[in-house]
Amino acid sequence: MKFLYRWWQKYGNQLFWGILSILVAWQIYLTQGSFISETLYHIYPSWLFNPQIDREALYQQSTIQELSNKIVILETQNQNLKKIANYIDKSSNKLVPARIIGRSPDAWWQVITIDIGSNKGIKPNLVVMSVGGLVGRVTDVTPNTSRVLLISDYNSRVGATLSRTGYQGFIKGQSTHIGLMEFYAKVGDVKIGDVVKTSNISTIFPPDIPIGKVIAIDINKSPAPEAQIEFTAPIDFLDWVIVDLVEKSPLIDVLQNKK
Amino acid sequence: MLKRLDISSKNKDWLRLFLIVFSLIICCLLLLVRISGLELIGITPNWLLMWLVIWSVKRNLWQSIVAAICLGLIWDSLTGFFPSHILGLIIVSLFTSNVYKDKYVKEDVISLTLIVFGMAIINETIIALQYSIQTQIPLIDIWLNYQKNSLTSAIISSLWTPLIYYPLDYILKPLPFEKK
Repeated sequence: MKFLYRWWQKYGNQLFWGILSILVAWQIYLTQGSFISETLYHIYPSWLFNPQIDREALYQQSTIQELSNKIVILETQNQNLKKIANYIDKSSNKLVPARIIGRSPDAWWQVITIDIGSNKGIKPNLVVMSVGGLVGRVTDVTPNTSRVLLISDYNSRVGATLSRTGYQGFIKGQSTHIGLMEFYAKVGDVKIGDVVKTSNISTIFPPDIPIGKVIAIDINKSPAPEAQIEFTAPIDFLDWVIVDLVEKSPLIDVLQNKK
Repeated sequence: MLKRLDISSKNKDWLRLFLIVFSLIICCLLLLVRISGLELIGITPNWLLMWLVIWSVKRNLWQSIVAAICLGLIWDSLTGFFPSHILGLIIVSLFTSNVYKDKYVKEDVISLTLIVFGMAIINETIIALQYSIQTQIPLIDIWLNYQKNSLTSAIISSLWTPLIYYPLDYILKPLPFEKK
């Protein structure tokens, strides 16, 4: 008994603080560091002024001007086609701009933290885009921030399709601005410069968001051919991103889970 | 000259605890932001690794391992569960705990910078090993990335170690009565 008491006097303090700190760290782990990202959100504007803060306005002027011209052409075309196909209109996309306040905390991960969260209706698995195309998807949400897994991360998988021929596959990240697309079956007709977009059978990503261009092909790769895809969104130099608030329709998910 | 704040007396435990937690939060925030000059090809110093090294060079094995587990959990919370940083940090703490006890290494900022350089490489190696063993990513991709990541983070981490060594060493050094 005396031995135990002496042991406790010697090490009890250390044991207590050790267990307490592990419990606190475990709590932070369970909440996915929401405390840290919230702190970052609250102090960010005061001490790290972003010199490119006018990007948002800039995008609205030049890029949107350019794109709106194309949209007009496509819309008229689309309306005609809709009349022919008796297409039922789905709800239009609600897009929210977001500023990037945090980058990957490690050389291997490709994640960003953005400054909008569940207060503005962000939920996990929403799609994040930028000028140029797909950027990633939301993985964790706190009241004012959310974490986005970029498509260039090793853990990212995006169902993709070649827009010219319709070949299906998925794109794996490689920690660079070039991703690797694996096709599901043997394909013959893939050319350098072909545009890749999100697949319409993906469970997370809505169809027809541009991802990138084919820059190299390995047709003879043994299980299925592979292509290297250069992402059109500037993954390495992101300042602002756009979050699509419309979740992928649950009906499609249900149908796909049944398959 | 400014009067030095004495945080080593026994009745200032709470101030010390606050400073330790505060320094950890600062390190976590620094991990997330990119300030020009504090990054090299987009890679920021491993602030939590430096914190761990400065903590464990003067601590015994168990205190170092507990700190490594805590920091690993916090770092994982900022990224994701795989690959885990806990394993790498535990190995770092095994190597660095009480390194000044043997008289081979002299206690100064230069030796600490060298230790951080080596430990950053070891930490990255553990992560690369986790990727090679547990995923289907081609090995050549992982180890090419590893070369870039390990060298860059080791260089940038050891470059910025002196900046946080002096304040952190002051906060984290064990009290005289803890040393026994």
